[in-house]
Amino acid sequence: MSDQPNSTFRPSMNWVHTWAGLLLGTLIFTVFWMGTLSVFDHEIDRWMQPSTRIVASAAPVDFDAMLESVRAEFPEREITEAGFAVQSERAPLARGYFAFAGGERETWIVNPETGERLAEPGSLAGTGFIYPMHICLLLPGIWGWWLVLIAAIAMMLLVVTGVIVHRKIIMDFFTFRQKKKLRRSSLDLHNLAGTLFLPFHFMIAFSGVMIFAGWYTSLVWLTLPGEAADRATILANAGDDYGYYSREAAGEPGATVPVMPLIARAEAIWSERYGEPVRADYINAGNYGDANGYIWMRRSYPERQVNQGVDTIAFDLTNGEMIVDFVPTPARQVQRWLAGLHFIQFDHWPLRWFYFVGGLAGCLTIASGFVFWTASRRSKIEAAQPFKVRLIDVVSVGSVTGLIAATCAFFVINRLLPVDASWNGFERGVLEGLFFFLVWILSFLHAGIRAKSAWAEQTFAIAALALGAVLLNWITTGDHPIAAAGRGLWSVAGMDLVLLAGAAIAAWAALELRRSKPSAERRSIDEAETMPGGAAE
Amino acid sequence: MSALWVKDAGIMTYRVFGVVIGGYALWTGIVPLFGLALHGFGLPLAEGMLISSMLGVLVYIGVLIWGFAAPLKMRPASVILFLGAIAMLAAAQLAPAEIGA
Repeated sequence: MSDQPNSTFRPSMNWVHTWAGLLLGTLIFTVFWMGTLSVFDHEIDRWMQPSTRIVASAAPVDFDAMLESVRAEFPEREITEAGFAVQSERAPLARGYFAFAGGERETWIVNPETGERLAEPGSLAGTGFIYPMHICLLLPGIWGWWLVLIAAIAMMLLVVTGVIVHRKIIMDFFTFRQKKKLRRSSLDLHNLAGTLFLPFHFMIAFSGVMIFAGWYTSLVWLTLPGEAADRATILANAGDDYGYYSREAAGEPGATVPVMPLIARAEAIWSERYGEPVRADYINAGNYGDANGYIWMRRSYPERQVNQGVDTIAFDLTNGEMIVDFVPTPARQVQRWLAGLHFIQFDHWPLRWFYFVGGLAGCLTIASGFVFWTASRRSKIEAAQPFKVRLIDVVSVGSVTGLIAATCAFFVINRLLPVDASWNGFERGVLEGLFFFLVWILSFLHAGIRAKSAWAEQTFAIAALALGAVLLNWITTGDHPIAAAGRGLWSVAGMDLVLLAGAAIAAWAALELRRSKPSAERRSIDEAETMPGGAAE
Repeated sequence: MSALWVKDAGIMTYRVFGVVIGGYALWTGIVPLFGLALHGFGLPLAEGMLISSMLGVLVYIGVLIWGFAAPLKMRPASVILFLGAIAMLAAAQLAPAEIGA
């Protein structure tokens, strides 16, 4: 218990910083890494879903025509609900979601330029796998959301305690002794990456908590009886403050007016109110064909503002009369501004890249913290507590390089699986996800077997997988970076270039990691590897 | 494993759980109380709750730092647990009349 807090402030904070980082490092790294990738989730979609690689078009999609097409395709089915997502620069496809009376569902993906219907892309990709992994770790129920909250709170705590721990925070900006021992260089890297992006790391964790701030505190309402708890939960979440609208179906058939004129009316109202062209970006027609039918739509997020305003308008679908014209309250606008800081949906590419780099710096801070912990204690406690050191080594390697390698393997398997692949009832997108988790689990096993060599070996694996993903993309789609850029597919070219840069950095890091091995250890590995069938350990 | 080590480990466990769980209870308890207070000053209830929720997380961070900064004793964790319980009970008592449930 020598690390326990003593009577002074800074050592106490050092204790909190060390143990919170060590115990929650895996969770925080996972959330941070997936969040960093989510900055470019739509671009990852384009790369992993080659059938959707089209240049963005502002051509309006006729959703009435889409409804007609659905009716023509399924004449025996009755549409009960329809949702439409309008295309944007980063997500260039328009989508329609249809629910039928029997419970069946259909998704239509349309190229806005040609009106052509596209096949299911066959991959969960960035918005279907990486982003959900960031927000709820793909866990069922509410558990993932709570774990992500813990990660965000821990990140804020680590930032605050980190500032208190480091006496010379200004000097940390300028100190990186790469050639020193691993213990020294990893601490320098931890301080440098952490200090340089300190405000960003706090902001991103804080704004992440703010998105669901009301929901996270609603446990207190479980102490209330029945309806009071429900009402209080709604208020705590300010659920009636988002402008959502719905109403019960009448159970009798009703007329339906065309959708497009209603969308145009809503856009005209918003454009006049805000003095600039405003589009609807999500449209939901509920109780379709019922006497209580309605259509609800949300304003697109302003491209040049951080604020993700949630203005909504609802019309009666039977006669086109307006039911609701919702403008968010000032408090909700503040919350949506904070959410906008986190979601970065505004149109600003330099800032988007800044977020990406800031996210990578956060990952680097966590990873170097792991490395520093083991490097600084190995000589002191390895003899007395070898299991403890080994366990933390395995967790660190699997959490950091294992997760990155699994992500690269996710990209590789995406380019290897046939378009119509399925296995045991699992569709292609799910198979990709399963492969991701398989590789991640294997990385922990590898770390357990290879011990001190695991960091370098997995970093080499990252380099190979990243390079392999780029080559496979070229072979299977013909879109090498130059060709993709020539066709205006900057999302594909950009992802290829980031993968190539990542491969180069990983290869360099792997060589450095091998170089930094103690000479005695290197000798023992070399000797073991020269023995017939010998393992390094 | 000495008796002192066991005692220290017990105190640490109580302290960590007390500060983390008690701090959370305090956070969730203070949020509705502050929200109701803002409503009392004329703010719509939903807005008051939202503002209170957003500020509440900073209270939690502060409580965590305070709880771990004090010397190795059980007192901070006990105080935080006590305050958390009071805040939650007070919220549960005061809220139903205000929210119209």
